[in-house]
Amino acid sequence: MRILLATYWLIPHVGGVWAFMDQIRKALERRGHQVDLLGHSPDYTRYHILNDGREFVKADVMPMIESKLSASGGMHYLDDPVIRQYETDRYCLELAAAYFGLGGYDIIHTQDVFSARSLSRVKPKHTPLVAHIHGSVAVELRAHFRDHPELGIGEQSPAWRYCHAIEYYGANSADIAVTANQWMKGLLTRDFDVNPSRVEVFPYGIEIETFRARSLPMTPVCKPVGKKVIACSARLTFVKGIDLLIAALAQLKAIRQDWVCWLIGDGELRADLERQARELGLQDEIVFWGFRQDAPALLAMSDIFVHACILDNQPISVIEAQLAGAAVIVSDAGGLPEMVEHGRTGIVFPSRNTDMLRAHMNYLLEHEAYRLQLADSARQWAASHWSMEAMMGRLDGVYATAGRIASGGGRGEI
Amino acid sequence: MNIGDLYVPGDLFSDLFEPVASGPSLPVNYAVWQKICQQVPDGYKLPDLPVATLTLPSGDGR
Repeated sequence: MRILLATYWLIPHVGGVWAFMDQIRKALERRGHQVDLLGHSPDYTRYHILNDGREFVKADVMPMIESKLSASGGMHYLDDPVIRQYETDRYCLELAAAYFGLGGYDIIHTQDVFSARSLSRVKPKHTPLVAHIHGSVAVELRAHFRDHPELGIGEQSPAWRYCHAIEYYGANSADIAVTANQWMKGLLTRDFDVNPSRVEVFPYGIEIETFRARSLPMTPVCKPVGKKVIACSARLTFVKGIDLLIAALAQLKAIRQDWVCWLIGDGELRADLERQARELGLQDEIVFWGFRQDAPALLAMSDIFVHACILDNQPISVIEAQLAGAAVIVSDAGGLPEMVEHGRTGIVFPSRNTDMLRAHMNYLLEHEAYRLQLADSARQWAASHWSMEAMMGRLDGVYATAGRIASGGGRGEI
Repeated sequence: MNIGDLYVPGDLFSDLFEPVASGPSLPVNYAVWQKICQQVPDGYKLPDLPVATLTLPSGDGR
């Protein structure tokens, strides 16, 4: 089959959507399919088909789009700069996709609600459209609006309503939407009125043997003698809750000092988090490694892995930590509780509750046999649950079902 | 802008837009627009009105 993997976001990129696209591209190509990758260019000026170099310069069409929409009158929603940015960019994506041509694809597989909606409007009617929903644009944008009251965007604002509209129309535009867990499906169907019959749920998979090969000790980093390693691998952004982990580590230090913490990853909050660590007297206990190519090897040396996020879907870092053999502690935010069975393959604590997080870290440091048992159970479970083969098998089934729906005339316009 | 830019009447390509509106003449990459016009599905219009008008099934836009 000829398959188009498409996103509104940047490709290539350090984020999880790009990693997922690249991973399933390789898996699909191994199965004999031909795969194209469509997305924004890293400099944001073009859309491109990454694998063959075709480009669409946004400036070639933007003046006409801006002029027409401004001249038409009555489009007051475009007065809002947030909506204007997303919508004009999305219209560019539609025109880019039409320009590149969608007629030759057997499957179009989008990776966000923007591209799902856009490509549904320019694809041939009988071409199946599958939309993977990796996160909620609406939830993230509304959190941003709440955190920045100076923007003046409240529940009655067009931008607020736009979040709902794009989530609803994006997910419902596909023949089948796919989420990685029940939490995301529930969010779409309960909060954004997406039809549950359109949503399939199956977890992400990773190439386990490739990951294990990368976990071999080919790193200059050595585990400190006599210390346990508490690791966290994540972008250093607000939603990852790294500040909460640091606060809990300050409590832990008051009890015991037989540990160090490795923070693997980079991001906009790094300077703030480094300052927080210094102010709490943790400069000798916490190592900010930044982005590391040898992250799997660092995880393999870790004893405990903590993900203290306040909102996340199904982070690959937790999957990797389980496979690496660390005992995993996760918050109960988003889809995280579906990633471990509390007390058997990991520990779940209430999001933002640093007292509980400190207590769990202390318990695992105190009880070596229990920690090893948790880690071993998680490693065995993870090897089957997060298998790439399992995910690709489910994806094959979704492609086939979407093909049947599309050949029967599709779901109908919404 | 690229080679191939032309200044064209602002009402050109109005078939793609709804409601139809004309503006001043604009610099466009004519070849790009021509190819787009050939390849968009019949009836394709900008903007995407259901999203643009924030039409929602529940009507509240929670």
